Amino acid sequence: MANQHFQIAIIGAGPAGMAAALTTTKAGLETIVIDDQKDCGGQVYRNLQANQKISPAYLGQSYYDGVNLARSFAGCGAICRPNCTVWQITDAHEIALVSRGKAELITADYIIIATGAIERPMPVKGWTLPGVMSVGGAQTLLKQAAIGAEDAVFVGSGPLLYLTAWQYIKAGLSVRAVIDITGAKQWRSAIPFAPLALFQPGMLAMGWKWIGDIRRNTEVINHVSAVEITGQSQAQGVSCTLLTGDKIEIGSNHIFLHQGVVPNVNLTMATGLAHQWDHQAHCWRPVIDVTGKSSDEQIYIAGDGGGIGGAKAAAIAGRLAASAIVARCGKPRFLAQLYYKLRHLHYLSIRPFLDRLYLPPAHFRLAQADETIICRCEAVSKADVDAALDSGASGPNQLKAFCRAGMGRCQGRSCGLVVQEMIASHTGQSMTETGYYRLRPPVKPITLAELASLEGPWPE
Amino acid sequence: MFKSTMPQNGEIVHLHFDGKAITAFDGDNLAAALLRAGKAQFRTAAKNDPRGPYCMMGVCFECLVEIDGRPNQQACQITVRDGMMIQRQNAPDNAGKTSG
Ligand SMILES: Cc1cc2nc3c(=O)[nH]c(=O)nc-3n(C[C@H](O)[C@@H](O)[C@H](O)COP(=O)(O)OP(=O)(O)OC[C@H]3O[C@@H](n4cnc5c(N)ncnc54)[C@H](O)[C@@H]3O)c2cc1C
Ligand code: FES
Repeated sequence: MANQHFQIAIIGAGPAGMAAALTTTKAGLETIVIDDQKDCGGQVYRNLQANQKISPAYLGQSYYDGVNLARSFAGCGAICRPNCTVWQITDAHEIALVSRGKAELITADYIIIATGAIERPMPVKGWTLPGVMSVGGAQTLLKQAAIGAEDAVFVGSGPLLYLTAWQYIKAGLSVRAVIDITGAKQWRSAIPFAPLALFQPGMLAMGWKWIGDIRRNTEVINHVSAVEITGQSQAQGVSCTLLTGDKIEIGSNHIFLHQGVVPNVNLTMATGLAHQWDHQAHCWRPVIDVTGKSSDEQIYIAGDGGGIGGAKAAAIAGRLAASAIVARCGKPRFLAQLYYKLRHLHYLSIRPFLDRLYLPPAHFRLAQADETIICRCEAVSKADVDAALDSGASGPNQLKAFCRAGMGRCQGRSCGLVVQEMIASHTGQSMTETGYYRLRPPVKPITLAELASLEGPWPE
Repeated sequence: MFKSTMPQNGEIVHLHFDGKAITAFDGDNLAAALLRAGKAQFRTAAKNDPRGPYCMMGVCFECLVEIDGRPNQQACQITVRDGMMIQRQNAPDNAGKTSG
């Protein structure tokens, strides 16, 4: 049986993927949109359709900003494949999918990868204990299941942390404390870029409001040098050391950690696309041109998966990539492209400021205590990684063989950046020289039964 | 403990977690339903490390449970079904493993 063929395949139905589909379908291109969640919306607009009916006010206006986009997307005529995971893209641009236990291959002339961001790991002692979650995880529970925890402690920094703590407060949940790790050094490096950020007054005002409301409703702890989570089989609290050397202990069974988001590079790397180390945002990102075109002429990357810009920039990046493809299909859209390029630049004007302000201090990017788990899947501690480095492991892939870090199911998503930086600081090499884990398909574990369900030849 | 931030309505479905009966709402996310029922630990990782859901977006694999006899199911990516039998999942290598 021949594989189903489409002109455009879009992977990810967040703002970037949805907006891209509006442009490609309007140009009459046959478009399929694949997403592993049950509804469209991506991380930012998760569960929007259901929430619209009950509209909890505590999610805030920035959440309901997605309503128009989601509505247009629902009517745009793209073929939607929810609950469907892409586990490989081959050199021949075959896309391998798995949905409800069944695998299949489709092909497309052009592929737009819009798989978004993941949270940067925050390896503090005790972060694997039940009761500790990422802030994004806590926010997802609020959006998707309308549940929240009383007396939680939020630890870290970045817009998503303030937004979620604010949503918690608006939902009537009591927040025990917010421990903010943003340091004076971050402020000093960010301030010169504040004038540029003024091009986004709305976003600045929104952040200002979140932080103000948080300060009025809970204790905010600043000037922090170390954080540990206490507890044996469940989180019992946070122990936080201040720059003065003083210690603060806060009891809580719910600790939420966050120190920013980074592009989710697993699919783009496993597809063999070129990537580069982003010095400003301190993460890997695919090499793309201004329209999102990757090192493969047929593959575009749009949204936070191509570099963090936030939800609005993601939607414009989706439009930009789609209109570039539409132009290559013989329908040039010069004015539209110019407009999207300018809008995109406009949205990105706040990033130099935010990236510097919320770059976590090095002692939070790297683990401090020896017992801290680095690789969650294989339960490899900082001491284990240090021992591997002492015995000569000189790169991320070699380190896998020495101590199993990065060998688990998450394929390095929870430890890759930490391990890489530990190696770089041990060897004195740059992050680019050190490199990242070599990622191979499948990007999500797939069972033999699922593989066997493929009709026709297996992907190369 | 997690609690509802909105009045919850919807049809009740019945699940079993490690043999104990739990109720959830039709359409519930499985990890969310277990957390709402006060279950924080979903599995043990290597070296008997207790774990529970961390990312809620399919990235970390900390929410793995056994469902109706099938291991390695990501609870945060699954919708509940009436009668689901869920078991905490123990890392297969816990028995032999000591360190490193
Ligand atoms: C947990 C979390 C919560 C966030 N909350 C907010 C927020 O409240 N407000 C805000 O402004 N920003 C938020 N962000 C930042 C976020 O990156 C947004 O800027 C925005 O969602 C990015 O849009 P996007 O379209 O690029 O990607 P996303 O919205 O992330 O959409 C990507 C989609 O692709 C799907 N996907 C990924 N890999 C695959 C695959 N292999 N196969 C199939 N589907 C796949 C994902 O499930 C997702 O639905 C959040 C980020 C995270 C990680
Ligand atoms: S909680 Fe992270 S994968 Fe389910």
